[in-house]
Amino acid sequence: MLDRRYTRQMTLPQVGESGQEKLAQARVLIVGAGGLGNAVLPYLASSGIGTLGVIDGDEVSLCNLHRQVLFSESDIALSKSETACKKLSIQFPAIEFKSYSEFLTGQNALALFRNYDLIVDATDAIEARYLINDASILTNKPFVHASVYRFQFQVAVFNAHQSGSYRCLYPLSPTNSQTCAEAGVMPTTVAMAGLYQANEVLKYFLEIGQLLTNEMLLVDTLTNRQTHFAYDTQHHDFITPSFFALTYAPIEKIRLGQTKQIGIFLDVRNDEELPFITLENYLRIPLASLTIQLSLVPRNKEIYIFCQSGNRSIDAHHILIENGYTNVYCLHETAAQINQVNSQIS
Amino acid sequence: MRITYFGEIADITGKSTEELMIKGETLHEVISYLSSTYNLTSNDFYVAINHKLVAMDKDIHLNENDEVALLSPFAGG
Repeated sequence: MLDRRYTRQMTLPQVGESGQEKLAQARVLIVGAGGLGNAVLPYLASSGIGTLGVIDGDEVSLCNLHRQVLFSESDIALSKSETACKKLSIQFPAIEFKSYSEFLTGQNALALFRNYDLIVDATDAIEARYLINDASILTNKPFVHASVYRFQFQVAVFNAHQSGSYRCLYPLSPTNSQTCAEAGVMPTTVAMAGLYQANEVLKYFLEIGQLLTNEMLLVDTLTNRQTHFAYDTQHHDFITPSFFALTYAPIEKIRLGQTKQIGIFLDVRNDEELPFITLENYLRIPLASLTIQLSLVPRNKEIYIFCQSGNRSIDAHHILIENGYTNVYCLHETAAQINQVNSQIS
Repeated sequence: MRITYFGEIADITGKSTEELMIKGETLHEVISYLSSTYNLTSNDFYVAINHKLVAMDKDIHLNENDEVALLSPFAGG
C-alpha cells in the first residue's frame, strides 16, 4: 500500500501506482549538499525516491544560508550532509537517508556509486565533475549534472541509456573557472538549476518525457532565454580502472619551506600571467603545452608545481604522474604567495 | 553573423551578443579575430555553430546567417 501523501502525483497518468513504485525502489546519490543539493534533495525526498545518499565533507557556514535553505544559524560548523539528512528524515520518515560526511575522491567514488542507481552532480568544482563522470562510466551509472555561473546555469544528463558523457560535452577542463564563492550567485538561480536536476531524475525513473541526453540546456535567468546545445558523442575507451586510479591518485602537497634546493619549481601558468617569479631552478611551461614539452622537465629531481590558484597544478600533477614521473608535488602556495615570501626575504 | 557569449566569456567580452559584419570567413578566422579582440585564451572556451558544439581543430566555412556561440563549463553549484 503506497503512502497517501503521493496521491496527487499518482493521479498523473504518467506516474500512477507503478510509477510511484519505481520511485520508491530508486536509490540516488547526491554529490554535494550545497546550493544545488539543497534544492534537489527536498524534492527527490518529497516525490518518494526510496533511498537518498548525500556525500559532502563540508560544514555549514553563515554565507551558505541564503541559498542552502535546509540549514539555519544553529547548524553553523556542523556537517552539511548529516544536517541535511537529519532534517529531511524528520519531514520524510519513509525515505531512507544515508549521510557520508566526506568529500568524493578517487578512493571512495567507485564503491559508493555501485550502491546507487543514479548520481546527481551537485558539486561546485569542475575537477569533481570529471571524477563523477569517470566513476559513473566505470560503474555504468547515469548522472544528472548542473552547474551555475552567476545568473546562468547548465543542465544535462550523461551516461544514461548509452548517451554521451561530460567528456563528450567538455573534453578538456578549462584552465580557469569561478565557483559561486568567487563569482557570486543568487539563491533562486541555483535553486532553479537544482529543480531542473530533480525533474530529470524523476523523468529517468518514471521513463517519461525526453531526457537532456546528448545535449546541454543553458538557461539565462535574467533574460529567461533557454538554449539547447547539441554535442557529438564518443566512447572514451581510455577511461579504465587503471586510468581512474592514476588520474585520481591522492595529490602530494608540500609547503615552500619544505622544498629542497635541488628540486625544480614548475610554474604552469600562461606566459603573460603575473606576478613573475624569481626562484632558483625555476621552469615555466603553461599547462596547455606541458605534454609536448615534457622533455624539459627533469626526471631525476623532485618537481614542485604551482600556478595561480592551485587548480592547474593538480592537472599538471596528473600529467606528470601519467608520464612516469615519481617525485611530484603540488605546492600549497600560489604564485602570489610565493612572490610575497620572496619579497619578504629580499 | 551573430556571435553570442555565455557565462564567464560574456563577462570578459562585456556583452552577450554582437553582429560581426564579415563574409566568407572560416571558423578559425572568426575565433582568431575574437581571441585577439577580447584577449581570450582558446583553452578557456568552447564554440558552437547553430547550437551544435564543434571541435576547434577543424576549420569550418561559416555562412552569414550562422550563429556562433562561445561558452565554457560552469563551476558553481
